[in-house]
Amino acid sequence: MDCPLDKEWRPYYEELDPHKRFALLERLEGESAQDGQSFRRELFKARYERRSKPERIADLWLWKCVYLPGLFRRRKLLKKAAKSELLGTLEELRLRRELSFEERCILYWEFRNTVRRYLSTCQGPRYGRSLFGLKKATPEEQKLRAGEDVWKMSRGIARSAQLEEALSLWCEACRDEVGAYDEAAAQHFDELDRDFER
Amino acid sequence: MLNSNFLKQNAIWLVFIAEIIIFAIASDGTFVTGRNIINISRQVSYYGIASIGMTFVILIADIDLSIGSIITLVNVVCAFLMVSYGVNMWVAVFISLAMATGIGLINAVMVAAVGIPALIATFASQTVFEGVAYLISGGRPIAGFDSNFGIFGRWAAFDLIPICAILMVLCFAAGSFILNKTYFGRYFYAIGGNEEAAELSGIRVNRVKYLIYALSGFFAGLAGIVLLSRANSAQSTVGKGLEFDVITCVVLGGVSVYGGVGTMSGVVAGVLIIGSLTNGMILMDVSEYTQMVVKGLVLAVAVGIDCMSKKRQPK
Repeated sequence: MDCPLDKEWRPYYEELDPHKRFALLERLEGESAQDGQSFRRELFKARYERRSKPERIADLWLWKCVYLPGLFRRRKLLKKAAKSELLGTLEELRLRRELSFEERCILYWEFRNTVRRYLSTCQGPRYGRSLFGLKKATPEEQKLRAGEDVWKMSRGIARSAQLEEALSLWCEACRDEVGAYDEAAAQHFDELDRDFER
Repeated sequence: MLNSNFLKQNAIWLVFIAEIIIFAIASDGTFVTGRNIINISRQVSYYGIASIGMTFVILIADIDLSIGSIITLVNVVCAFLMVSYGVNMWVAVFISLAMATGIGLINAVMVAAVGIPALIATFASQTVFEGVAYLISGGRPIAGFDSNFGIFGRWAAFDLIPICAILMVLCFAAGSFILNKTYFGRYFYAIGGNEEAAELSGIRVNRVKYLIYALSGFFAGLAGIVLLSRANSAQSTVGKGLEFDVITCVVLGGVSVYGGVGTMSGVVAGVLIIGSLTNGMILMDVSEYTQMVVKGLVLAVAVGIDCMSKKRQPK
């Protein structure tokens, strides 16, 4: 999807910390004359505000990034549950709505920010550990695993549940972000996609 | 349809069937008699129950080596309470299970709050609680329980199905429910998949770890009660090395040593394979030391397969 990112909004989509993002949103909303401000705020609320405890910031979309690869692995065991879970995800990610081109662009960049936040957690010492946490993963192993996780949370789960069209914007954002993250991870993403076809 | 996907998905059950056929032939049919099958169900019940808690721990890419000593300690404490203090059987069981859960929580504090690697923390508590069991029992067996205590390990429903096997099935059902139908189950997979992202997304990872280790302790305690009832006597060495049998069952059942992958049904298959293997080797008069060699090799092969499959692409 060809979605140019406005220069003034770039810091907002590059920032990963929710508190700093909120401050940026407040500031940029005041300065910018662009349309789509209320949609951005709606997305911010949908992503970070926990309905049961609004005072506590969580990242509900990041949770999708963590949860969906696990759901992909258990998709054969939980066929019905996986499908209904995904339909709920479509709702939460605002993918079931009729959106204007501009709103789709805003959503696309919000997705990319979510995936970027996920990928930022894929470099820590705990990520990709094996043998009951004894063996740490090398940076190369971590990148490949990150690529695999992102594929599972996007194209993998979408294709296995036959929801490719509904999840296309999410999948595209995931692929683009993993491409920007690391070449080897992106290659692994594409390999997995090809293998799934076979 | 028998295609490669079907074979791959059900490989563990096919191994189990192949094992039954081999032992049935090698033992001239003794292995598949009703009596022996009931015997196997009794034998697997205690480490089947213990493997549920271990599954949760391995799902978050940790390990709990204290399971064997929790089984031993529960064995000794429960027997000690009933025999030396005349405590009611149910009260003794309750106290022992609460203690086992408490030990699990101690492990969790060491791992989650202090930050000690799970292997070291649980190895330390294994040593400590094994010593405590010796101190309580003085190294001597404790026997002479209420005859009703046989309900956990020796009694059978309708004189056929061992109560301990029913208890194991119920525990597996509960474990499966926790994993597949509750938020906590999702959290276990999420933490095993990417702990940092799980934390950032709003999960209180340390609290979940407390729950996991407490459950691990609880199930190990329950296994200890079953074992005590079955043996009708407490020994301070009874749980020695049991953690390796339990780990083998869980890993053989497809729970990945990388964390975040595994199902309770796979663990059931793992438990049945190890139980049948042990029983088959006993029937064939294989020495205890050879059995140890075989089980060690099974664990190495199971972990090796997991590591190798991780290097390939997921289908």
